[in-house]
Amino acid sequence: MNTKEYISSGIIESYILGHASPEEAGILECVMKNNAEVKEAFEEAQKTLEHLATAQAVTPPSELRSKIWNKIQQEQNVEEVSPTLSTNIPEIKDHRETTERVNIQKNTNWKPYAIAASLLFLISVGGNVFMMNTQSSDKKEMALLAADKKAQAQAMERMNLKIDMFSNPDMQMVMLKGVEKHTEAKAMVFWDKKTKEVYLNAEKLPKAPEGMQYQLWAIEDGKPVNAGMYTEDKDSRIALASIPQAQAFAITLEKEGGSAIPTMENMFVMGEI
Amino acid sequence: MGICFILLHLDRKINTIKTTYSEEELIVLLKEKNENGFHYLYDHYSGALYGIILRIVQSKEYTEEIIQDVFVKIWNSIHQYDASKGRFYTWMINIARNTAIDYLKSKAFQNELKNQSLPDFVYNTAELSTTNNSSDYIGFNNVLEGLETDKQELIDLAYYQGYTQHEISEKLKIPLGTVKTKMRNALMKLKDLLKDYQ
Repeated sequence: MNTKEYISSGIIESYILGHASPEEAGILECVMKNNAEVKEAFEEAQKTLEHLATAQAVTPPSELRSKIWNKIQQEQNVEEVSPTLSTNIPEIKDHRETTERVNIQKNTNWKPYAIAASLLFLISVGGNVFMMNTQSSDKKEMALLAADKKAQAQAMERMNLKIDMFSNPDMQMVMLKGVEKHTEAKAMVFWDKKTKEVYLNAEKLPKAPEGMQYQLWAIEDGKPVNAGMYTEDKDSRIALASIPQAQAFAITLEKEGGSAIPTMENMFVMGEI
Repeated sequence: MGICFILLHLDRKINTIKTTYSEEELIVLLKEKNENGFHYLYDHYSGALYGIILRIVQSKEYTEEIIQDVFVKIWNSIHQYDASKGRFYTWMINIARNTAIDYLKSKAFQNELKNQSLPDFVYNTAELSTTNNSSDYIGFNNVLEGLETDKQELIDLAYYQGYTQHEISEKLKIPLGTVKTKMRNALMKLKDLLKDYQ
């Protein structure tokens, strides 16, 4: 897909209308930073809808201005009261007083306090359960410690490999962050600017299900290009592909062996360069 | 930035109500919670935002309620505005659209509509505008009428009725990709059309 095709696909309009998926939005935002033509089309499309709004303006009733200004000031007063609340939670008397003040101001904003109270309760219950569990699990822990030691030795080995990567001055690192559905996920692409080879550190991604495999994509002018299949064996060690040019990288979960085009809804992480 | 800020500050000291601000200056004023900023915002954008909300909820009464929320939201979340993700005016338009569409979709609103016995509100704006609320439409400047019917419908569904592209694809029985390209074509036509309005 070239720039013209990308623009005429209607992705820009989707984005402005709030219809683009987080993945599509991420790609567009990244492409815009690197492609003046796409950026220009984005500006134009926004202006069109702004002109529409201006052309179809309707004069509001004259008393609305003061109504809104009063409401803004009222909300601001409430906001100034709120912070004192959170710091005063342990002092019950104070708390009640503040609540009353808030009520007087017709604030229906009780939800944060209810949530805070529920959280405190949960933390206290969680604490108790944790204390009980720790006693019974001492023995298990001993066994785990032994296993841990072995794992640590392996981790150390991998760490050393990573340090080699980090210390290579030709190596560009690109942090890939979790998209909306997988906010916890992250990965790191190492891109050797000399050899153009890309390495992937993806230990932080959830284990791929049976028959599935993570596939790395390089985004070049909005177009995803296959950048190789990931296996744990290759992690931070073996190059996945050689990529001459890209503005971003992304990882999707695909059937074993990979796909020709990324399955957008299975995107886990993405990061721009 | 720092210098601009000081200059702006001095400027305001000398001349308390300036008649024109650039978008950037306005944003600075709003971030400072400056009352002049509010008035400038209201003077320049209330009509457009009011028009959008009115077109979405099709009732002056609700529009007056919603636009208050919209201004409060702009005022309170001005720090969240990110210029790299779009223009300021567009950001405000989207706050107005989203607030109005949420309102429209909220159950309370739907129930109230039932009580007013308005049939199938969301799907049938044409019918609505000729019935109960027709008085709202006096002087209503409908630029979209200059477009072909299918383009009008598309913009109306996506922009004023909050249909997702999937929903439009299902409703109009056209593939999703086509919805996207058609939407672009509709906006390109609209752009030409709007040239006459400027």
